[in-house]
Amino acid sequence: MAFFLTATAVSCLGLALLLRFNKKRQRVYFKGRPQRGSHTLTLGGWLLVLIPGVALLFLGQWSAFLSWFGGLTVIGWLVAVKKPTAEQSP
Amino acid sequence: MSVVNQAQSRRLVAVHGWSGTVLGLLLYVVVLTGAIAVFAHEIGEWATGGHASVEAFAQPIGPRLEELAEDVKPEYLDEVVVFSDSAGNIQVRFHTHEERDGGRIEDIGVRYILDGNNLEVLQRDEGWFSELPRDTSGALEDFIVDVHVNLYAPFPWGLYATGILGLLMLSAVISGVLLHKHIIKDLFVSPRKSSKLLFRKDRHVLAGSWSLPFGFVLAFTGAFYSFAISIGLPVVAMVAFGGDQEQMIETILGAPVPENTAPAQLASLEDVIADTTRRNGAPPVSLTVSHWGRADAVISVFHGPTEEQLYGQVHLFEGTSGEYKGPKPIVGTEPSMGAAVVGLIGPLHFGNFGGLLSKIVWLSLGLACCYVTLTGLQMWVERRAESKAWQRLGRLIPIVGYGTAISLAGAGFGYFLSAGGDPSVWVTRAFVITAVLCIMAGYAVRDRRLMENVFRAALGLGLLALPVLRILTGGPGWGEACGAGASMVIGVDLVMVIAGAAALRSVSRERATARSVQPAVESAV
Repeated sequence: MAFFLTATAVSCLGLALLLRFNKKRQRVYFKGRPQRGSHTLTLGGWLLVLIPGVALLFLGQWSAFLSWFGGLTVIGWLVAVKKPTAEQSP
Repeated sequence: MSVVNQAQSRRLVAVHGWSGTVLGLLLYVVVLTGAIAVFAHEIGEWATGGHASVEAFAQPIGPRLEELAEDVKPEYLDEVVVFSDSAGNIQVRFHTHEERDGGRIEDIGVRYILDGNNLEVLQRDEGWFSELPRDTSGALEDFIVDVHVNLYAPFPWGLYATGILGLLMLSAVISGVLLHKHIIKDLFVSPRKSSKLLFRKDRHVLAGSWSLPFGFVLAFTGAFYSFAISIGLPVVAMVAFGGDQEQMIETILGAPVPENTAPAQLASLEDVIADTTRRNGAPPVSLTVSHWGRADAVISVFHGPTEEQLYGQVHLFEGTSGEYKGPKPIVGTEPSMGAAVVGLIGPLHFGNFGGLLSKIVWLSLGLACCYVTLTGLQMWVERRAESKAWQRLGRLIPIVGYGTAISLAGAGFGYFLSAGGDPSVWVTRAFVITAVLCIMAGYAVRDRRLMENVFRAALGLGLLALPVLRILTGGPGWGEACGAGASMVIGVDLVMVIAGAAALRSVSRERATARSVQPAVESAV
């Protein structure tokens, strides 16, 4: 449980970075504001998302790894699918 | 970048769309019941009023089994299976395997249902196991599992159907992957609201992209389970063993121990259970004794998955001495890659390797797959708005989408209202009656938005009513359940209440949106 929670929390942080600095999403959610983000931030986001999974595999925590992978896909979907508000939508 | 050219892409769109459309609604039923079946045992426990979280083999079961063994025909001592059911009772099945008309080998013997607390006999049934009165405590969970595994169709046709649906889902997943031009970028696309169709497409792509890996895993493992039993094993027996099923079983399960019919005292089951619990780090979930009371007796103990071990383990013990003989791989007699792969299929399909946590994740993944199936169907139909045939299918989407969930809640009503009758019969009847009512309501209410609101309200009210009905029909209240340590009852009640309230809230939000849009439209006109 502790492995799963830690890994998922770290990956969610990475997910938040990727969502915040994704150019397509910025055009919708931060319309009219200057676009932010860089390759380094995107790379950092992906590393934060994926490294916990690699760590779980390295530690032999198979059960936590599968739960983390499944949980991450569900959380990622639920966050990404959020509807833009009427003001935000292009 | 896409790996296919434009012409191939068009063909793949056709494959992707048709594979989802042809049997998409049936696939949805299988996936939804599968998602709920992840919690089938917990639902069974909830329906029966739950039981304290005591271990199945905490009681000294050995002496009790010896008493029961004296009360059955000697041939039924060929194999004895012991496990704990959803109601917390212990089921003991003394049986042998005999050929019936048509050449099928079936189990025949005596089934005891013992009170899990004091091992008193609650029920005794004798005969072909397929014809024994159904175990009423598991009626609701058996029904959910049966709809998922067989679509409630007889063997092997139900397995063929669900296997084909699994392959269709695989085909949709693979064509979906090949169709994606920017699969990673699509993970973060924001649903566009410039048109209804684009909005639906973006949401479908998002859900599909995120759930791709598990869509593949669930479809593959599901198709494996359907076809391994109905086609795989007979084909292997035919091709590799020239039709010799016994030789095939020996190769897969290992050769039986040399026969020795001399009478012999069985080792202490309590010692065996203590030994296997120590080795595995957790108590067993079931136990089988082959050749009870004979010198060639073997005790096989089954353990469920644990946090350290993804798939279940079987430990073998010598029957008369209780000596540990080692673990038994799922396939063959020695540990192998094949056995590990087959062993992994179960936890990957059922999500039962990490307790409640992994089950919650697997339920969510199943619901995500339901969403992908329905939104895909909806898009396919909306793109063919001019065709009456497709519009008729379009009308069926919310009917089946909401109707299946409402009918499952209806099955719960059937279970609780079956007082004096056979719950397994009433669960089925209630499911069918509710499904018919949903179809009638779906065709009676012409306005699509109103129809969806009616379905959501029915689902919400049904889910909210189930915990109340459970208590009114004699189930324990929260105080009693808490005192008895039956936390699962309270947990499932809470989930029902939250899901029911969410469904009702969505109706109220939908109506509020409709009310706010209406004046705007009127003022524009």
